[in-house]
Amino acid sequence: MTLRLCRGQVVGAFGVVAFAVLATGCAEVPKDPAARAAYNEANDPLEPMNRAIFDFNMTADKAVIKPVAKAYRWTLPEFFRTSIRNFLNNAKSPVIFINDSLQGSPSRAGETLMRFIVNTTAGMGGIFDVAGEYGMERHSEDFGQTLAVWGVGEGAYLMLPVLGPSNVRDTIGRVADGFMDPFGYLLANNGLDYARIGATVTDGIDQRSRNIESLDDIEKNSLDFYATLRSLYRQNRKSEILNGKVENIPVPEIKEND
Amino acid sequence: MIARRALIPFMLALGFALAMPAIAARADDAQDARKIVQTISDRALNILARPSRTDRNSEFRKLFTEYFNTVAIGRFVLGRYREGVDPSQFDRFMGVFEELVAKTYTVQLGDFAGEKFKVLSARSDNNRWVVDSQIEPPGRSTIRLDWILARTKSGLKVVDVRVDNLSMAITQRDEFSSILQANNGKVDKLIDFMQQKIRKLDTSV
Repeated sequence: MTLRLCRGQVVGAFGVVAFAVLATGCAEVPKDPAARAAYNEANDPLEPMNRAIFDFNMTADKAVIKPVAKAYRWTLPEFFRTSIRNFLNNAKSPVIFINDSLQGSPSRAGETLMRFIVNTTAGMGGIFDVAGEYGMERHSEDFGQTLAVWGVGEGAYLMLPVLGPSNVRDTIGRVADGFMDPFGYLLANNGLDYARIGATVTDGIDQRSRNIESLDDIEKNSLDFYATLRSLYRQNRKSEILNGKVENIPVPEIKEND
Repeated sequence: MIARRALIPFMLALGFALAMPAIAARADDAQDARKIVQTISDRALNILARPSRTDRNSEFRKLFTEYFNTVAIGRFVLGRYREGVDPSQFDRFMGVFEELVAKTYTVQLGDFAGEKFKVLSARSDNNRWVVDSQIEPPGRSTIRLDWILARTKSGLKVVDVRVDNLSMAITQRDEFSSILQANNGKVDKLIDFMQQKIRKLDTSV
């Protein structure tokens, strides 16, 4: 996938976006110390812009994405959807392997490689998760997590159009993963760019189809869905980065009279 | 000299005897913690089987106040805004908070009704007990549920539940913090929003 804009156009576009964001998208830093502390903790200086994008995402989701995901789930039998999921997961293995290695986790890299070989061969190109049935569980890695392991802070919270919650570091990670993916180049070199887009869209629809009820429940129960998702995204990323081993999570304190 | 050599095993024995009740107590605590989680889950399942929604709501509220230390959780979710709240306002907040939590649990636990729920082990972490459990929904990957319990005057109480490392207390605190920040820290406004949500949950399917 090559970007065909000339340098001047890119810089110009960047300038316009930057100006627009600074002019309208930034929140005002509060003066009150308690509020300021909360503001810093939320780490969402672009909150007005993010909320606007969030509203757009919710509208697009209700109008298009969720109905398509529901139709996908309703029309395709589970076996078929599981095969699609397995295939797409397997195709991500090279990127996961690279990130495992970049994070200095040779055993995890080995697991990823093993799963890829087993599932691609015995699993008929990845359709069957044979490795999983033998207890070799899949794990996911991406360049955003790699950057975090290398010590890069998350940066400001970002709500991406369609793609959803992210932050500066993880967005850079997404782009990097796109460049790292050997399958991307394989498809592009064979003139199959549309296949890559098709795979990405199918991946999105399939994932959406798997979280319909849980997201619905979270929305139903939250007073501020945007803030809830922001919190969940952060906590989930922390867990992913630490490979599930999160420690020292703050906990309610018991006082003397409790 | 003989006396001193004999003293050492005696001291060891004494030390051991003194430690034993503490060790036994910790083992008991672990057992208690696991039992509490199992009881909560069993009762929750029973409550979900009840036909009347008002029934379910009031039973969940009772379950919440009986097994969770709601005051500690309420203080926690107000976060740094806790300091500006006087006792009567806090009581009002707690009343609405308990009702809201009972109603949201009714919705969320409903999803998990009938799934395989297994209580695994209990371990101590600082001053808390962490009970590992898991739910195995059909066709989906296993969900890990960590229950955090603390010792209070009335025994072990739950102070947080984490679903795959996503803490319910922290999520709620972040959410309330966002609302309070947008409303000049006025807890009354937060209480209003909570009551609106309660009314909405009452009238929804």
